[in-house]
Formats: sequence, C-alpha cells, structure tokens
Amino acid sequence: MSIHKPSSPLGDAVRIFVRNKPALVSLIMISVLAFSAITGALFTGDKAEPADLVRIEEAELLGDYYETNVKPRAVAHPGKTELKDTFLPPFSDSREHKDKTYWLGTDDLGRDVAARLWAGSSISLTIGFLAVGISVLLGISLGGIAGYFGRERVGISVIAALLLFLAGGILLATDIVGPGWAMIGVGGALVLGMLGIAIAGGRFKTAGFFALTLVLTLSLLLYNRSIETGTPEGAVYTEARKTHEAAYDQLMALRDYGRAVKAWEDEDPQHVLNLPERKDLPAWLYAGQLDVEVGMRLLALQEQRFNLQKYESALREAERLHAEQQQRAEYQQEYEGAYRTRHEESLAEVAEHLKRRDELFKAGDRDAGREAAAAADNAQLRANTFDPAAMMERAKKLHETAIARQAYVAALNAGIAEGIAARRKAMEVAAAELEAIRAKGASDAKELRERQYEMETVTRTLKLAEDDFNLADNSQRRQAIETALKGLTDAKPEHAGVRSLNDELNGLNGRREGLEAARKKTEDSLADLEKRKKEEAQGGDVAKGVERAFPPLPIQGSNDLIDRRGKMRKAFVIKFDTEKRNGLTSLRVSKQLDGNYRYGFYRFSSHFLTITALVLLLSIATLMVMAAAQGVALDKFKALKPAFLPTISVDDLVMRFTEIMLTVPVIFLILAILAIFEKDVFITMGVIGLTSWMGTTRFVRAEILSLREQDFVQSARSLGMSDFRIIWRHLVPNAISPVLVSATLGVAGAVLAESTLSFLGIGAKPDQTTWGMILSEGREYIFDAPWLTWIPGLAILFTVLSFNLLGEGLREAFNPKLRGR
Amino acid sequence: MLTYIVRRLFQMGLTLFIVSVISFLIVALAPGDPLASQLDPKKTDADLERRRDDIGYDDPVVKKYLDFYAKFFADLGAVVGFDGGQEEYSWKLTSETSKEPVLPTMWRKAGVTLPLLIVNTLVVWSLSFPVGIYSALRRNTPQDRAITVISYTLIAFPGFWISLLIIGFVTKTLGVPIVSPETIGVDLEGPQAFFDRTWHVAIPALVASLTGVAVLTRYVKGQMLEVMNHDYIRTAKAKGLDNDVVYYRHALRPASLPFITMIAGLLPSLFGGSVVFEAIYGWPGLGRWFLEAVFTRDIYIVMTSLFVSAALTLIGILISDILLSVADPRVRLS
Repeated sequence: MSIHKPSSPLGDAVRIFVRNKPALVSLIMISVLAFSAITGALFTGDKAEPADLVRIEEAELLGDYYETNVKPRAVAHPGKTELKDTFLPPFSDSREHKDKTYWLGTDDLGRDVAARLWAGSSISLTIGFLAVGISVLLGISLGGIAGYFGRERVGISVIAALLLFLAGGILLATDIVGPGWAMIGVGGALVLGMLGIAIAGGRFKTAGFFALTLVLTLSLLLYNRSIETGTPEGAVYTEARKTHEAAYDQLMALRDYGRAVKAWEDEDPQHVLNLPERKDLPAWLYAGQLDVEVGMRLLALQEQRFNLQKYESALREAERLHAEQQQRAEYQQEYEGAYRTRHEESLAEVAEHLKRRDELFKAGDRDAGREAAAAADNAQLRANTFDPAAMMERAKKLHETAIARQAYVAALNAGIAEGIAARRKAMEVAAAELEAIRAKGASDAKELRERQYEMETVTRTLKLAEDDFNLADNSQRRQAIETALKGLTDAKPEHAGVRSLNDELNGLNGRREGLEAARKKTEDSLADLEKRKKEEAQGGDVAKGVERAFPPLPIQGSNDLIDRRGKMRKAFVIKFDTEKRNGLTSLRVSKQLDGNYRYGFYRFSSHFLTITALVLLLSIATLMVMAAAQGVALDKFKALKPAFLPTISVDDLVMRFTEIMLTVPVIFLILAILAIFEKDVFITMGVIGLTSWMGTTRFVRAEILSLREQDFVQSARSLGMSDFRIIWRHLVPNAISPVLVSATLGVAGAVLAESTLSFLGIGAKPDQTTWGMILSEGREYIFDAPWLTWIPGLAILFTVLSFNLLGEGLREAFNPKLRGR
Repeated sequence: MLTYIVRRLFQMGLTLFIVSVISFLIVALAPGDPLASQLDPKKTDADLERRRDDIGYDDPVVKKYLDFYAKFFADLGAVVGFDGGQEEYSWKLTSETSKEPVLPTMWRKAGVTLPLLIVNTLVVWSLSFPVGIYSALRRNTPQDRAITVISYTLIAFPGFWISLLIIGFVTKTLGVPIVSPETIGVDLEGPQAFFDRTWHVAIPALVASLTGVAVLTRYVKGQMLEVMNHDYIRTAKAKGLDNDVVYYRHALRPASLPFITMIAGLLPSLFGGSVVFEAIYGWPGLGRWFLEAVFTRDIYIVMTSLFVSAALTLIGILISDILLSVADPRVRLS
C-alpha cells in the first residue's frame, strides 16, 4: 500500500485547469483584455481624442445633453469639418503625419479604430462584469434564501398583507403623486412587507411590536380625524375642501369649453371636430353658468361638428390613398433604373450570343451553335422580365391615379377653405356693422346684436346647405334608392325593406326640399342684409356729423355688451390661454397632468394621513392574525394550526417569482425597459443584470438544498452555529465554484447581449464607445471599408469565445464528475 | 389528468395575472409620451391633448390597466368569434402610429415570422441530434474535438455580425437580393415565386440557427454521456446486445427526454426569437414590429406582445409537461 500525499480539492482543480490548454490560453487572453480595459478607461476616458467624435446628426438628437456634455469635445460635421484620415485601411500611415501609423485603420470620421477598440474594451468588459455581478448577487441571495430557508412557511395572510402593501402603495402613489414617488412608495412597501415577513415568520414575541405599531397607527388616524371634524378650523377646512372640489370640477369642464370657443375663433375646422359633445349644455345655459353668447355658439358648434366629420373622414381617406399611391409610384421609379440596366445588359447578351451562334454555324459547329442560341433565348427571356417599358406603364398608371387623388384632395381642401373664407367675410361685414351701430348709439346696440347673430346663423345655414349639396351623395343616393325601389315595389310592395327604403327616400326628399328652402331663405336674408347695410351706409355720414358734434357718451347698453364680451373672453378664452400656458405646458413638460396634479396635490395634503393610516392598519391587522396563528402553529402546538389558514413555503414564493420572470421573454423585457430610459450603456448593463439572474437562482437553490443536508452542516448546526455563520462559512464556499463557472459564461452572454443591443441602436449613447457601436457604425461602409465591421466583430467573437472556454475549463476543473469528457 | 390540466390552467391564470401586472407597471409607469413620436405637423397641441384624453394618458394606473385588458379581451373575443354578431367589428386596440388594429396585425405578422421560425427549428433539431450523438459516441476523437471547437466558435459568433457579412457577400458577390421576405418590385409567379421565397427564407433561418445548433449539439452530447455512464447501459452491453440497439434504444430515449421541455420555448420564440434577424433582414415580422413599437412607445402593441408571449410560454410549458408525461412513464402528473 503506497503512501501518497493527500491532495487538496483546490490543488486538484488548479492542476486540472493548467492541463486544459484552451482554457489556459483563454485566461491569458482575458487577462490581456482586462489590462487593456483598465488602461483604456484610464487613458482614453475623458479626452477629446478622435475616439470621442460624434456625428452631428446624433449630436442634434442628443439635444440638451449634447450642449452640456458633448459639445465641449470635438464634433465632426460631415459638411463642415475637414477630415483628413478617413477610411484608411489597416496598417496605413496617416496622410497628415507621416510618422503616425493606424494599425487597425480609420473610420468614416478619421477615428483610429484601434483607439476606439481600446476605449470600447473598457466599456464592453465593464458592462459584462457588472451586469454579471448584479445577476450573480441577485441569483445567490434569492437562491440561497430559497434553498436554506425554503422550508419556512409563509402564511397566505403574509402574502395578502404584502400584496395589500403593494396595492396600497401603488394606489396611493400613482393616483396622487408622480411615477417617481410611485416607485419610492412601492419600494418602501416592499421593504416594509419583507421586514414584516422576517419578523413575523420568526418570533411570536414580536407581537408586541405590532401592537405598538397598531396603537401608533390608530392614534395617527384618530388625530387626523379629530383635526378634520373636531376643531372649528377643521370644519372650515372640510367645508372649503368640498367647495374647492366642486369648483375645481366646474373649472375643468369650463376649461374644455374655453378651448372649444378658442378653437372656433381660430377658424380651425379640426378643432370644431374635436368638440366634446355635452348633453348638459342647454341646462348650463339656463342656469347662468355660461354666457349666452358662448352658449349659443357652442350649440351652433355642435351642429357644425357633424357636418365637418363627413369632410374629415373623406379627406383622411383621400390623403391616405394619395400617400399610398405616391409611395408606390416612387418605389417603382426607384427600381426602374436598376431594371433598365438589367434589361439592357440582357439585350447586349442576346446580341452577343446571336453573333456567336452565327459564327459557330458558319464554322460548322452546330451543337455549340444551338447552345449559343439557347443562351440567347434565355437572355432574351431575362430582358423581357426586366423590360422597363412595362414597368413604366405600370408606374405611369399609378402616378395618374395619384394625381387624380391629389386633385380630389385639393378640391376638398378648397371647399373647406372657401367655406371658411365666406364665413370670415360675413363676420368681417358683421364686425364693420357693429362698429357703425356702436357709433350710432345705444338704441341700436340690441338690434345690432340680433343682426349679427342673424348674419352668423344665416351664413352658417347657407354653408350647411351648400356643404350638403356639395356632398353630391344626397341626390345620387336618392336616385339609386328610387331605381331600386321601383323594382322592389313592383315585385313585393308589402316587404319591410321596401317600406324602410320608402321612408328613407321620403326623408331624403324632405331633406332636399328643406335644404332648398333653407338656401332660398338664406339668400333672401343675405340680400335683405345687404340692402339694410347700404341704407346704413347712407345714413352713416349723418351719424358721423352728429358724433363730431356730440362726442359719444358712455352708453349703458353698449357698454354692457362690450363688458359681457370682454368677460366672456376673459372667462373662456384668455383664461384658457393662461391655463394652457401656465398649467398645461409647463406641467406637461414635467410629465404631470395639470388638473390631476393640482387636485392631487391638495388631496395628497389632506388625505395622505388617512390613506396611509388605513393601509398600515389593514396590513398590520392581517400580519397580527398571521403572526398569532403561525407562531402558535409552528413553534408551540402544531396540532392547533388552523386549517383555514393555508401556508406557502418561502421556497415556493421565490421559485414562483423566478418562474414568472422566466415567463416573460428576456429580449422583450430588455427592449421594453430600455425604451423607457434614456440611452445609456450603464442602464443597459443594469437591465441585462436584472433579467439574467433566474438561472443562477435555480442552481444555487439546488446546490444549497443538497449541501444543507450534508453531515458537516448538520454538525455545525448542532454546535449551535448561527444561520448566518453556517451560510457564510460552510455553504457559500462550497457553492461558489458553480457560481464562478456560470458567472464566467454569463460575462460572455452579457458582452454578446450588450453588443447586440448597441447594434440595434438602443444600448449606448453616441459618445459611449462600445464594440457593438463601432460595428453598428461600420455597417454602412461594409463594402468600402470592411475592416470597420470585421475588427470589432472579431474582437467580440474572440472575447466571447475566451470567456466560454474559460468557463468550461473551470467547470471541468471544479467538477470531478465531468472529467474526461 | 383532466384535473391536473384544469389545475394547471388555474395556476397559469394566476401567473398570467401577475405577469400582466408587472409588465403593465413597467410600461405604464414609464416616463415618456406615447404621442411624442407623432411628428405630424398638421396636429396641433390641442389635437394631441384630445388624443391623450382618448387613450386615457392621464388616467390613474389602475383604470388604465383595467381599460387596457377590457379592450384586449374584447378584441380577443372578436378574433375568436364572439363579437356579438356585429358585421363590422370596430377594433378597440389600435396602434398609435399606424392606426391599424393590434390583434389582426399581430396575426398577420405572425404569418410572416412563421416560415422563418419553422425552417430555423427544423434545421436546429435535425442537425444537432445526429451531430451531438456522433460526438458523444466518438468521445475524445479528433472528430469530437473538431465538433467541440466548431460549436464553441459558433456560440461565440455575434449573430448580427455574421448576418451582415453574409448579406454583404450574397448581395455584392452573387448579386442576389436576400433582404426582405421576397424580391421587391418584381411580380413573380408559379415556381419562380416559390424559389424566390425559399431563397429569402433559407439564409436568415440558417444564420439564425447557427447558435441554436451549437448549443443544442453540446446539450445533446452532455445528455448522451450522462446516460451512457449508467449501469443499465453497461448491463445491456454485457448482455451482448448490438451497439446500435444499446445506443439508439436504451440510451437515446432517456437522453432525449429533457429536450421535450425545450418544446416549451418554441411558441414564444415566435416573438422574441428573431428580433435581431428580422431587423437585419428586413422581415416585417413580429419581432421587428415589437421593436418598432418599442421605439415609438406604442404601448398597446408592447403590452399586447408581452402578454401574448407570456401566455404562449405558459401554454408551451403545459404542453411540454403533458408530452413529457406521455413519453416518460416515470413522470406522473398530479
């Protein structure tokens, strides 16, 4: 029996690892990379090196960020900046300085690819390591908890309390304050809930803690209530709050109408179309909430809306079709050139083949001649396929359709513009009249207003009538129905369809007659108005003389009108303007809703205590019940565990969460989250880390589960070691090697993921150089400057390969079962 | 069996609910304006304002959540056929940018992605099993080492890079257009159209399957080696059974059981599997649709895609579990 030196597991592992050549080479390569990453971060980090050049288009996209962070550095403008060393292939000398050599070439902005690669290595590798750090940290802690404390039971009530906390936090936070606070609220609720679970799951005697919290909460609640109802100030406050609420609602509603009126005055049909339909408008009018003038206008607006909707939909459709056709025509034209070339090439080929065939036939080589003839046929066939004449024919047809559509759209636009112009003209006339009548004096003021309205109503009715006629479908439809009806009536006079068609026809006929009558009436009253205007113009000179002789006194009726008009503007238009300027715009910028914000702020101040107290109270009450039931069941009398309180293990809780996270496709999750935040490589890193911990969690749990049953852990426990000590001294060192392996493989995955995301254009800011970015920028020049894609691509390939091989080497070294595979 | 499925469906419902809440919170609490991408100069502030009201941009989150899922399930009902007998169903979820209804569009886009996915899956599964088994049976031979090196290299290849190189090669050197599902601007018919489509599907699918082949090959090899170490294989060999019988009947069947669970990933990969390749090869499929929706903050599309893909994952898991219980007599569903 030979005596041999007892070997340590670590020594074995090192010996096995050293024998694994690929893994060793990978380790050396990774060390070189790490060195280059560190030096890259040190030397190229913040200088205005060519590596920091940003394309001007990107700079414009960056906006403010560009102004403050990037502008101080060098920025290359394609048109303005003179760039010397662009597109130099690898191993070439600089055109400016002969002693400078670009070992890996330069890109479109003359940046040294080697320098960029160097700078990129620091970011890419940092991202890889940090992302894996996050995911490993999360994976170990969650897996450790699930493995070690897995059998601890958590009452459904705890989960209910947790959800309650969460729901309370979310409701409280999102309804009233902004998303930022919502996050804090949810996070805080989570921490509190976790704390609650930890305490409640452990000790029964902590019930005292809950009792204390309960008392505190109750007293808070009572205090709040007593302030609100008990004191005179509180009563006044409550009353004021109610008034404020009512007033605020009304203000909001009125603001909408202010918007509508403003829009109408701006002569924008689009806005009239957008007018919300309010059934309570007449009631408001009578209740005196609305100025008469405004109310009448709004009623008129609501009518006009239906008319405009017709136009709007026709216009939309026409525009859409037009755009579609135009694009297709462009498409065809774009391709036409390419096809013409193919066509001509093919024709030339045909000629060549024919020539060759003749020569061959002449020479007597009939087989080769036949082949040439076949080739000529083929070329002819290809030429026919790419015949530009047919292509052009199609494009022309499409173009003609597009032009027709355009004309249709133009006609529709003109129709609307004409209507607006007519109305504006009528309003100008009315305004002139208003001036004249005001000069004449007070007695005419009332009449003027009436006539102004008349004018407007008449113009509007006229417009309506004209619009209806313009929309030719009225008469067409009538004719169609008449024709259809005739046939139907002959066949089946008693059929329900016939009856309804009859009704419709009658309705259309009536409508037509009504429209004719309205048109006639309108024209009459317009003529009447013109006549009256002429009469007034004649009398105007007299009035002017009178005015010169007797300067106008402040006349009650006229001033009333002016006041009311002014008030109306103030209440609905100017108020809206200021509201919009002060409230909407600034608040929209800060991503808050104006009304909700102010209303919410006030509600926040008054209800915050109440809601908080209620949420706390409910949660703590459930926690108490749970603590009592569970404490008794677990620690003291197992038989007394109430059957109605189901429990779930910590293991279940963690692993179900892990499974849920696995359910959402990772690439989707990453994309969705990255779309939210600003482009930044470190956010990308965090997101990659936060979405890749599930695998680590699962196998750390499995590892810990098997380890905790082993003898050395049992004996440590029987020695009275604390859980914490057992975990850190015994479990973690034993479980670390598979974690190391998976982390190494994880770095490879993270580098690959980061480069993919950067390539898709969502990973990094333009001034953050990562390998994926370099590759993505070189993509445009793949034919002219292939080294711009090859070099970063190879860098990524070799890095990922090294990490994978190192990971496999480590796995083999640490896991004796796998040896020899 | 039936009770098991019913219970699993119930659990799936619960999981889906939680997923829906999480994904909704991620999207809904995000800063950023879904209408910011609408750079239509004809739209005024007031238009955008009204549109915000329409989509409930300023509503409380809970209301938004309920609104969204009410609309989603109404549309889903219409897709399935419960649209209340209306002839013209007006879709409730419509894209903010293109104004197209979300669910029919999703259905159409799935039809674009499906050929890619099918060819990809066929290539991956039909290549990696033979290669993996070959590699396991000839362990430590030069062939095995070559396969290992090749598969490691393939795993490390950035898929988008190799795609770029291949597009460059094929379009420049061979002069064949391969970007997009079919050649644009030419009306091909009959066999020509068929070959054109085949060519356009084959290259992205093959490139996309490179990594899959490498990973699955290694996995198959590992499984085979694991099984070959078992005692019953040695017993079978000791009985003097033919090697083929031992390998393909005794070893392969238990070794391939874990791969049944991988079927679960096939359904959702319709969504996430080919985002990058669709983006590079210009396929207007589901992945690219989602990517564009993410860029334009088209939250209806993002939410719907997240929900549907999570549902598909769960359905895939259920199917694979049932298949596993059919294939593996040791697994009892309870």
